[in-house]
This record gives sequence, C-alpha cells and structure tokens, in this order.
Amino acid sequence: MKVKHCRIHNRPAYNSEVHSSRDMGVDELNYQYADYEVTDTIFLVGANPIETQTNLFLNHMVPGMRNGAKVLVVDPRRTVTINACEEVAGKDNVLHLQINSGTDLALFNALFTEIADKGWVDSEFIKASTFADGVAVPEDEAHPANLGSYEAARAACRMSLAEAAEICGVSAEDIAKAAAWIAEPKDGARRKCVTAYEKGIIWGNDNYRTIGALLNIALATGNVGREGGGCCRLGGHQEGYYRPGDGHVGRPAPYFDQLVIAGRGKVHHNWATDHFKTTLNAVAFKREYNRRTNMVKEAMDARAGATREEMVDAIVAAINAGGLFSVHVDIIHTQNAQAAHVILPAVESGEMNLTSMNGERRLRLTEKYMDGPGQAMPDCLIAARMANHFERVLREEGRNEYADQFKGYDWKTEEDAFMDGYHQGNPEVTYERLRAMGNNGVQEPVTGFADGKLIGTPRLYENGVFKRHGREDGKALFMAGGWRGLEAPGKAQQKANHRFLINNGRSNINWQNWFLDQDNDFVSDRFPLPYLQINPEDAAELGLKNGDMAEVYNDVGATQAMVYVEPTARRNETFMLFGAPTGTQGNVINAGTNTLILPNYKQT
Amino acid sequence: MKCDKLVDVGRRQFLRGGVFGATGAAVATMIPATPAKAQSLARLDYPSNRLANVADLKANEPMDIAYPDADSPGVLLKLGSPVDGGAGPDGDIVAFSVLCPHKGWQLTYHAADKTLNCPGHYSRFDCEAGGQQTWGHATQNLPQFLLRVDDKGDIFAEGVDELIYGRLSNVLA
Repeated sequence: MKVKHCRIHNRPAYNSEVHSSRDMGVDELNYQYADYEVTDTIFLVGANPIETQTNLFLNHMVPGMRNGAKVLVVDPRRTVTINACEEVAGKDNVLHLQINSGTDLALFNALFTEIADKGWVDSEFIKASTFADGVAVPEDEAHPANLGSYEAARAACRMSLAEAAEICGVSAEDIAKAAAWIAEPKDGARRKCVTAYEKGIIWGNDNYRTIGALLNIALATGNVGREGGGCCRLGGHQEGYYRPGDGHVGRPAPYFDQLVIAGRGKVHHNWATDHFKTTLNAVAFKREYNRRTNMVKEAMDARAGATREEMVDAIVAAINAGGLFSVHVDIIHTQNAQAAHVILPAVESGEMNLTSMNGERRLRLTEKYMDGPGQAMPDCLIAARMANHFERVLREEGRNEYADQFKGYDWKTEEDAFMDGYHQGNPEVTYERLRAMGNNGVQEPVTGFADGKLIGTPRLYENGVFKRHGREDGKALFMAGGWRGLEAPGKAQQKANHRFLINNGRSNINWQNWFLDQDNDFVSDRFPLPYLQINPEDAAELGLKNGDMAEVYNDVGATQAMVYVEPTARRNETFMLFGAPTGTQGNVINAGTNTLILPNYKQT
Repeated sequence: MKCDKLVDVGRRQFLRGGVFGATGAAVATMIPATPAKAQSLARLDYPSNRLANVADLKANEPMDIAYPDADSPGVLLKLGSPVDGGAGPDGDIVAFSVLCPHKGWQLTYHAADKTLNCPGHYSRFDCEAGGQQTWGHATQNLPQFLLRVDDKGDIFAEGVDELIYGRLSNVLA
C-alpha cells in the first residue's frame, strides 16, 4: 500500500538502526559466529551477550577466549558478561573501558586516531577496497556526516588520547592499550579483531556517527570479510529478511509517534508490537493514543444497536473529529491493544511454518507442530485476507486500478507467501530445500543448489567488494564524523538537571518486552517489577533497600521499579530494565531523537 | 501508606504456602512431642531418609548428601541465621540438589554469599531464598529438599519442591 507513516517496534519511524554501516557499504551482519573462535581480540561495545545472546556467548565467544582471545568491553556498566569473560579468559586478558554514558564516539575516534598514527592499519585493504578520493557522500539531512576516504575520515575524526580520556572518563593509558589489543601486529602479522555492538550504541548517543566510527576501526585494520574479523550488530531477531523497498518513506523518515500525538492519521494498524511498553516519550504517546481511540469507542457506544452502515458513519465522524481507529494483530492482548477497536489474533512460531534468520544470517525453517488457538492465523494470511477484501470492495466501488494493486494475494498457506516473496528474490530457496537443511539451515545469501543442498555464504565480503550502499565501484566508505556531545535534543539538559542516570537494557530472564513472561510464574516471581540497579551508598542516602518499590521520575514522566542494590553500580548511575509491563522505562525518556529519527533511550 | 513491601508478593510461592514454615515453626515452638511432618508438593511417594544429625553440622559449611537416591547429589547446610523454610532449632538448616537445573552441571557452594554456583554457564542460586535463581539460564529454581528434624536432632529429607535435573520424576521407579 506504500503507507508512508509507519514505524518499527522499537523506534518511532520506519528506518534502519544501522544506517551508517549500510551507507558505508557494509551489511551489519557480515561475519560468521565461528570467527569468534579464531580471533585474537573480541571487541564488545554496548552489548551484554551472556544475557542477551547467550548461545553466541557460550558456544562461540567462550571457545574463542579459551583459544587465547583477549576481550575488550566498552560499557558504562560492569555487566555479568565482563565477569564471565574474566572467569574464562583471566582478568589480565579482559579490559573494561567503563566510559561515561554516551561518549563512545569520542572513544572510537581516539582509537582510530591512535591506530592510524601508530601505522597499525591494513594499507593494502584500504587501497584495494575503500574509496580513495576525499568525500564521496557529503553531509546532508539524510547523511549526518561526510562519508569518504580513509584520509578524510582521519582528518575529521582526529581525537587525541588525552582529549578522549577527559570526555570518556577513562585513562589515556587504557585507551592506548585498547588500540594495541585491537590492531597492534601480533607475531609479525596483522591482528585479528572481531567487533560486536548492540543497543548500547544503537539506542545511544549519535547513532549514525558512532556506529560509523566503530566501523572505521574495523575497515582501517582490514577486519571486515576476513577470518576472525567482522564488525556486526548482535541483534538478529528474525527481522524481515525480504521486504519491498522503503523509498516511499523518505529519509529522514517521518517521526510517527509525534504525528499520532499531534492528532494526525485516522487509522492505526499495529502488528505484533506494544508501543505502550517500549516507545520513548511513552507518557505522552499513551495519553494521546488513549484519548483519540476513546473518542471512537464513545462514538461506537453511543450507536449501540445501529446498523452496520450507521456504525461506520459514527466511526468515520469520530475519526474526522480527531479520533483514531485502532486495529491490532498479535498473539497476546498487549497493553497497546487494550485501546484497540479490532483485534486480529495471530499465531506464532510452532503454530505455523516460519522462516527466520539469526545474527550470522542463518536462515531456517521452523515447522508447524501444533494448531494455533481458535481463529488465529499466520500474519501473512491475515494480510492476504485483508488484501482480498480491499480488492473486492474497491472493485465494487468501480476503482479498478486501485483494486489491481491487491490482486494475487490468493495465499492459502505460509509457503504460498514465501514463494511469492522470498523465493522471488532467491529462486534457489524453497520450503522443501530448507526442510532438507534441517536445524543448521543455510547462511544467506544463498548462491546455489548442488548435491541436494543449498549453498550459502558463511562470511560476507571475502572478495573485498562492498556494495551495501549501492555504489558500483564496490568501495567501502569511511565515516568522517567528529564528536559533537550529546546529540539528541534535550539529553544534555536532562543530564544537567537530574542527579541520576537511568541507563537501561535487558536481563537474561526476561524475553523482549516480557510479553510471554507475564504469564510465567517463574519469571514474574523473580522480577514482578523491572529492577533498578543502584549503588549501595546512593541507596542508603535515599533510604532504599533491596526489594523496595521506587518511583523514577523526571521532567517528562514517571515510572516505577524494584530496588536492586548493586555494589558494582557507579554513583549516580542506575540501570533499569527496559520493556517491562509493570514499569515502563520509556515514561522517563524524552521525545528528542538522534538524527534520522533514531531514538536515544540510553542517556536519560 | 507505605507500600514498598508490595514486591514481596513475588517471592517464591511455597514460602508463603506454609509447608516449610510449618516444619520450622513446629520445631521451634511446639517442641518435640509430635514433630510436624513435611508434605511433598508433588504427588510422589518420597522416602524419608536420615541425612545427618544437627550436631554434625557446622555453620556455613556444606555437607555432601544424596536424596532421594544415591544418584541425586545434594548439599545439607546450616546457614547460621534463620531463613524462610529453614529447619532445625535455629530455623537455618536447608538442603538442595546440586545439579544445576539448566544443564546438570554440579554446583559448588560459595560461602561468602551463601549461593550455589554453576561452573558451566555461571548460573547462581540463593540458599537463603529457597534456591531462587539469582541469575542464570535455568527455567526453574533449584530443587530444595524438604527437611524434618526429630526430637533427637536427626535430620530427615522427605520431599523435593522442584524437578531434579534430568529426571521426568524425582522418585525413580
């Protein structure tokens, strides 16, 4: 339908979380997990994989450490991942750069500068595979920094160890040591370093420049497309691996939440997300969403007993007066869906055949083994039945050209949808062939089919040709983006005005936004509320004990959490669980976003 | 109104169910003519096995035991301070399986914070909170052995509150 005003589950616009990596020519999932097992250094940024990518950590990172890899962790919090790495690799082989929240860009630019100044770069790779001549893509509204050559980036990103130490709150010696662990030649050969990042910077300060600055280091040291290398995000939760282009949305994408809050839009379809628990500026969003959907509910209530046509007229009148008609498609009754007028029950993995991929692009078919409840259907078939109705209604109205857009959705099964979608772009891949590949599946992109097996691609860019940005020359671009402080509007003011940082993230025991945890006694017993880790002295000053319920508030809203006194928490820096049904962390996150409408949940 | 204890509602269900509490309370207050018997939470015929005598235990030093049979290793602990569900005259004697409910690795006791720790995947269980998983990968808490202490100070295990790792039934045929 090419709807322009749409958004994704964890961000208030329809956009990539890793624009800059793609703009530089590098897909964000470029390695294979086995690269962790053969590398010299594992570089983790804003990621806590023992809690959030447990299998990757235990089955690939731990073997890597046992094979001698050092571990470098950038995080404002001492996570359980750091503790586990110290247990496995030994404290001397783990370096935790406990930076001030949101200063990653300054750190990465200093590491890049140091590595370049020391000459620890892969000159052959830079020459063969990266853009050589100044600026390739100038900074504009859609590209929040110049993109271009190694030298251009080196000039724009220059940051001394001393400057970075001051900004980041870590010692210059530790930054120099980190640079050596990443890039100093080892036994006369190039050092292998695999870089993994996740929400700490994806949902942190200055997303575009920060991710680009991290990728600069990997590109400069030739650690993309090589064994033991890669520069990848850790997330890989079955996002749409095949979808139509998003050119109609534009860039920057519209800030969807602000449109809803401002009274724009008439009908909202929400598929399998719960914005009430996970969006930023959540107090305002909930208030307006409830107010506008209630206008429609009240209009419907007032016409109880009316004919279908009269009811439609009442709904349309309420919408035209500023109301919002809400349709939700989900497997549970979400908090957001409590404002819905129509709920379409969906099925989930196991109740349907589902293809999905993981963080090393491993595509698998999980086959249906039980029926879904009641009339619940796979999302693709719900969409197809909607399309069928659109076509019918539009034809009845004589709008044949518009109706034609909805032809062809005669899908009866998930496989029909797969064949009309993924298979069209990847003609080798069918359900039958994926079934034969079993639990190991195949790593995308699939390049062929031979001897009864799909042929995948374990690692991207082994040929040194980068085309994710669409450039014909196949040259990767560097990010020429200098440090510019807390970039999202309002963040610097919040920092100045409030004593406590409310850092936030996930825990091992809670899955996503706890949607199924709510009915799981084991999980809800453990954490009936999101926990708030707080330094013991801070807790004592505030009269808080373990298990107390605390109100967390600032200039934009308030929420609640359970006190978790944590000796490793720094003074004035708390950590609260994200996505909880019983305490919405987003209530205290302001509406300001990074460039390209990328939310900054972290520096709150 | 002070409501900061509301989160206690979430603590382990059985602790407010009275089974453990009854054992401890009986010993502590009714003194010993008819010591209360622990009930098993599962519909199983658990053996009543003598594990040790109170006099054998030293505070915060684990004693290796096995229950309900020799293939189910466990640990008997006198914690040194009373806990919910603790047995014995001081209400501080507890016993747990030492097979991690995640993957069956054998747990080791960490006396400093009274936890059982898994060397396999770093899970930790709180011996002062009924074996609650402090952090880890299991989808259940650590199985706790239900204890009865008789008037001679003999400690008997008579039940298990969660499924022991690797078993379809805690008591094997």
